[in-house]
Amino acid sequence: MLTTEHLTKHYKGTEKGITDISLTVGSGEICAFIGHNGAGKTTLLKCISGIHGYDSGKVTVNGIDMASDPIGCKRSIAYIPDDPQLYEYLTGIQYLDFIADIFGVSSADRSLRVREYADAFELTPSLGDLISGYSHGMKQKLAVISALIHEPQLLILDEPFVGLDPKAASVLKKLMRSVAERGGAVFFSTHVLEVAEKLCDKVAMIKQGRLLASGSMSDILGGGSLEDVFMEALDDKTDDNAH
Amino acid sequence: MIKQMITLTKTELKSLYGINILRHTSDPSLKSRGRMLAVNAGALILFACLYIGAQTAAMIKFGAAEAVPVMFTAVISLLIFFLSAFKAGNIIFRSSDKDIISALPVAPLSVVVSRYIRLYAECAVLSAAANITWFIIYSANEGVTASGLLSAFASVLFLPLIPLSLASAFGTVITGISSRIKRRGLAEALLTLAFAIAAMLALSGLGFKAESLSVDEISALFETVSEKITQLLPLLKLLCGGFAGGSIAGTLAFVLISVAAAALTSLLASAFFTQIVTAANGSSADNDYRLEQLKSTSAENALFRREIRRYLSSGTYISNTIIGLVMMVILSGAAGAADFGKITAQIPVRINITGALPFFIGIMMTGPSPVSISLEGKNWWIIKSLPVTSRQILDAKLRFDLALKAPFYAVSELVMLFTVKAGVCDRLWLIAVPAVMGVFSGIFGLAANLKFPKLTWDTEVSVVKQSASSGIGMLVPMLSGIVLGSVSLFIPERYTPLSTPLMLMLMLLITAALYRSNIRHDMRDLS
Repeated sequence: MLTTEHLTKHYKGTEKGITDISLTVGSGEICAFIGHNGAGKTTLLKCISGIHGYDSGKVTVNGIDMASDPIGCKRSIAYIPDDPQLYEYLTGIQYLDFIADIFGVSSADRSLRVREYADAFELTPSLGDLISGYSHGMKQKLAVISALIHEPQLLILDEPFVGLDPKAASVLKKLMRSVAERGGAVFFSTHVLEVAEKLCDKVAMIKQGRLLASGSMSDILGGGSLEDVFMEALDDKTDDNAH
Repeated sequence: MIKQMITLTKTELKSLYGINILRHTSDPSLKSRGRMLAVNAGALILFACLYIGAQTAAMIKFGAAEAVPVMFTAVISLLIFFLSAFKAGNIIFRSSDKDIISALPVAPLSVVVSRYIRLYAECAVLSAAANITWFIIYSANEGVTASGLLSAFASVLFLPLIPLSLASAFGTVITGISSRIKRRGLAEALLTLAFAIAAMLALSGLGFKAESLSVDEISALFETVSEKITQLLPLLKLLCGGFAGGSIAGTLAFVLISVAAAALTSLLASAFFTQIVTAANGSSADNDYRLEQLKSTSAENALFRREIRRYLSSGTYISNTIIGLVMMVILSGAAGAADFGKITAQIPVRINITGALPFFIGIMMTGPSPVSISLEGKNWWIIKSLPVTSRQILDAKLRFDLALKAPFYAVSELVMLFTVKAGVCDRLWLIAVPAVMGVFSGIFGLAANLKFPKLTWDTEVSVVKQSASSGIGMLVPMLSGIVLGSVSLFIPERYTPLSTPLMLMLMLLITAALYRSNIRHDMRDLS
């Protein structure tokens, strides 16, 4: 579903960015993307979702090359940033309608999906209010509903559990699993290693813009915990750099 | 409290024109954009100084040297007033950092004073440059006196205070009222516009009938206008007395009154600060939405509707982009009322007012497009992540720009068609030229915004009034209209059926080329 090959992106005038990232997330898989603050997680997610351009390498979503057909690629993707800055001058339902119109979701389908997801997140009564009056968690829930409204094949989320109450976090985990179960893929960044370990089939680790490890959760863990493996990988790399 | 004011003022001034970002960024494109902006600002100040210098020299040549101080201090004061009136309320009661400021142990007066000083700093450079320019030329001709120097010093430093205080007081009242109304943006825009039109009507008392203009009467005319100005703005009499070798007491009184006005306005705004900021940021949540069958529309319509909602949500956006269109309707009425035959008969050079009129009307056809991309701000990621082409995005913005202009254009055309005396061909140009100029300014505005995007901002005012794209997007179409209109003014009437369509064709070709270039722009490059 998602393939990146030797993906490199550096911000102008800085060394910040990502270098030579190659990874794959297949249909039916949920992949966690972990790394320290400033490691390049958000940069990679933005490159994959077509928000950022990149210097070299290749991004393929569902067999479509992002560079040659960005619009075709984006039709299969839904992206949710870590701090969803939504159109505060719209009401919740106007925002969902806007996203559904852009993706060409039919009237019947959108009504059905909005009802299902908004009820699950207990957001239905607030859909008529302006987004400017929403709390961070409510905006996060609305962003998730807007991402799911067009049934994306690839769901990309940046720190999706930040700001969500425990019930909403549980609903989101179930929805992520249902995307994978209907043949889609989920790629998300997180600092909550316990969630990643329990929820994900795959894991990718990044440090200072470079991929440390990537593979199936069982292969990467090898009997240990994700926290131990991650800390060990960070230390190893630090030692390598020191030597 | 003084320490608080100094600290807050320092922070305010650092955010001015993105100076701090430019100082600390390592992004070369941002730095080069900053340099270009500085060059443009420098060129604008230089251009303004040259213009004022030429005007001062012309007034002295016509024997109206005595009227120079009153005329220029009045013009500068009015400019500061009108430019600040559209933004003062939004700057003083800014909400973007409300949570940070509310959590700090600072008094509202400190916050208001720091923001007032920011407003002062925004107009001080241009005001000082303009005042120094006319004073140098004036004193080279009239001689320098101690009282004149003191008055010049007072003009440079204190002239902005009274217009700024008036603008801030109006801003406080308008923001205070609109913060209590549900459709806040629209209410704020309507109140600002109503107030601007009322101020313009009040100042129209300074006008004189163009028909009475003759070269010999120019000197006397300046004196009359100068007297009218001091009647309407008596404080200027105190300041300007010093230039004519009068007592310095008047100048000192002006300085005292100016400082008192600034202090009083700050006290007034600080007294209502918490109330207004809280009301302006409150949102009513009904929390009783019942989901019904949702309706679908095309992506293009969805983008267009979103543009409308974005526009109507912001008083700053509305009031600053609609004023030109309102002026166009007023100008059309004035053109209909004027007797072009009488005017041309009194001017020694033969001019073609009917040929030039469509271009001068067309220069007012500026809309929201030059800032429509920048105003996406932190929401820009949404558009970038959606499966929409650059063309769809820009077409929606252009469509809205034209839809906003359309009713004003229609009213303006109707007024002129019934009032302006012109032949069939000239009437056709009256319809076609403003329409083409409207499309040109819409597309040029988008091109300017694509070239100079400003997606990181703390208040809409910094985009709508101070960004490079808003300046260039407004000035270039306006200058194009002035140049074409001025050329048309001196083209004999019999050649107008040839010259005007040629100019229109040229403008259409440039517009088409700009449109093609715009829609090929990769939106991912904008950050």
